[in-house]
Amino acid sequence: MTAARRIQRRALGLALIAAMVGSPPPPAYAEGVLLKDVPPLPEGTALFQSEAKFARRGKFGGYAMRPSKYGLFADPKVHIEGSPEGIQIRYRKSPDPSFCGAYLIVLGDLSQFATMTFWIKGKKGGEAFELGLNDTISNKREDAVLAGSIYRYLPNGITTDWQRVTVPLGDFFGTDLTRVFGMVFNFNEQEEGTFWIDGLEFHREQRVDREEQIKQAGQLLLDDFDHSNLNGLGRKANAYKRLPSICEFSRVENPRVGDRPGRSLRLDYSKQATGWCGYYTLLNQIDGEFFDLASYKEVRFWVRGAQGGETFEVGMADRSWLTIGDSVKAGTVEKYLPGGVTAEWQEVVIPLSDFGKLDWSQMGSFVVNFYKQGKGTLFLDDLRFVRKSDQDLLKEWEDQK
Amino acid sequence: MKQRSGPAVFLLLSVWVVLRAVPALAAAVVIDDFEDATANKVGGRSNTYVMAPSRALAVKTTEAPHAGAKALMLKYDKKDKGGPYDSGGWCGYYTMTKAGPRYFDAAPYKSLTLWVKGAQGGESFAIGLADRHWDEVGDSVKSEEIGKYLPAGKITTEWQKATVPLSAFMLEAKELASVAVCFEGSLFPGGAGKGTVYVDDLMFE
Repeated sequence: MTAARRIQRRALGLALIAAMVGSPPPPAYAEGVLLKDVPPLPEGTALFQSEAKFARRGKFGGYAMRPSKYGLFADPKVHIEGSPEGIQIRYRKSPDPSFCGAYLIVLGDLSQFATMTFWIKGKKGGEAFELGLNDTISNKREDAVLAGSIYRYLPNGITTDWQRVTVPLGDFFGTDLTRVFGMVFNFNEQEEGTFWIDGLEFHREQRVDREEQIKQAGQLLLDDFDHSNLNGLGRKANAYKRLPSICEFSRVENPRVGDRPGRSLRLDYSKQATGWCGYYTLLNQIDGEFFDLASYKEVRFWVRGAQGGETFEVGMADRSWLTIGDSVKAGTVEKYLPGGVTAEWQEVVIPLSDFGKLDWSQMGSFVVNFYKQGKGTLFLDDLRFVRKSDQDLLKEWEDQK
Repeated sequence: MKQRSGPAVFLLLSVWVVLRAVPALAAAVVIDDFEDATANKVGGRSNTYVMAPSRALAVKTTEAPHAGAKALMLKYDKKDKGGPYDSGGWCGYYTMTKAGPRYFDAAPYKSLTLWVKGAQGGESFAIGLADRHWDEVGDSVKSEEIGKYLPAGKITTEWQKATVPLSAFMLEAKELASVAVCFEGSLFPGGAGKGTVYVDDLMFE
């Protein structure tokens, strides 16, 4: 037998053993599981006739309400190494209520995966969208679970270089991962852009350690209000009101803390003698986990008024307070800004101990409550919670002897 | 000359039979080495659990770890009065082996191991394990006092390896949700105890 023949036979034998124990070699450029290799939808998954006819894995498309527009195609000229083609996605988002977005059909069972990764590059850099996932139920109501802006995963945004985006599938809380219909790119920022995506993969292991990221930063940036109405935890935020009192929120480019591009939160309120109004941002996932703030010591944010003299209370709610729809107030803003709100940015720092006895391991929301009769406009920015250092924790332990 | 392929095929089939018949031997898996991540090595989060007036504090310390640069320092103060049923409340530390909706499959492993020492020596705790059922009721099955699993028979000021057999817990090992260090009142004289223990390299072997 020739040496080549022996090698060939040995290779055949090893391949046969590999096949028997079920470990096919991975594709050349993939570390995870490619979209084409994801398990199919469970047998019996209900699809509308139109869905069954129209949808196939890997197909991409878009949606728009005029005058917003989208365009997308497979682009053999722009792709990552080892891939035959990337997907070029273009969008022009007009002012609300016009909308547009793009999608990539998955039609698969992702329940065995913990993380999704894909590569992205922009034509100019700074392109933005909200990332979503919809299952076969939410697809029927033309809805998706949004995890937040791409800036949640690329803090410096999309650039003209390829960057890998790593997304924990747990961020799409509420999606039935056994029956995923598709990925959604929702263009929520009023702008025009072009970007490419490629190399979508799914991984069984967790690849993002959020707690470690927060610990390294020393703080949780709950919201910078820059790119999404969802906060930095991917939770919802909104104004609350009981007539005749009202409050409306928006995110505006001016004024803004510092000189980096972005937005601040604008609250327009009218507090009447009756009713109530304010703004909340959630720390808990609705019908899901509450957030553990036990290792945090203070909340900080920047504030200014349109005129100066605006006033409000700051509240927080744990699981119990959230259940009854109220919050514990630390006090009015003047307690922390002795000169009150002015037309200049000032930083408010509130020790969490000022909120009294809350269950800090199960926190639900942060609240700005307009309690005093009157109208006004208030701006907030960079809402964050600062962690206790190990020294803080040890001192606290000794102090409680 | 014509090659005879019979022996080779027989050998391959024998390998296949052996691979299928012998239960999978799993390499040891590190649940947490307490080095840098707040989340443990299987993606779960960790924290203390307390019911006042008892309290506990978990801090990663660089003071003489068993291996690597850091170990877990646990301070506990288990009270015997006050709280629910005037039993002093409870305290301990947990690390989740469930990451998101996925439970940890501990079936291929025989024991939970960890390295332990105390600030004074003579400290005490039990290991708690929870499967899906115990996770849902927010509790865990407790081991015997940790000293039973230590070579010296008790916690000392030197590092010792505790080996806790998983068979003792009678749990569904395929669906393990969490591991806990439990400062149970029954471990302390009069139900109250206070101290500092260090833990490192929590593993399934």
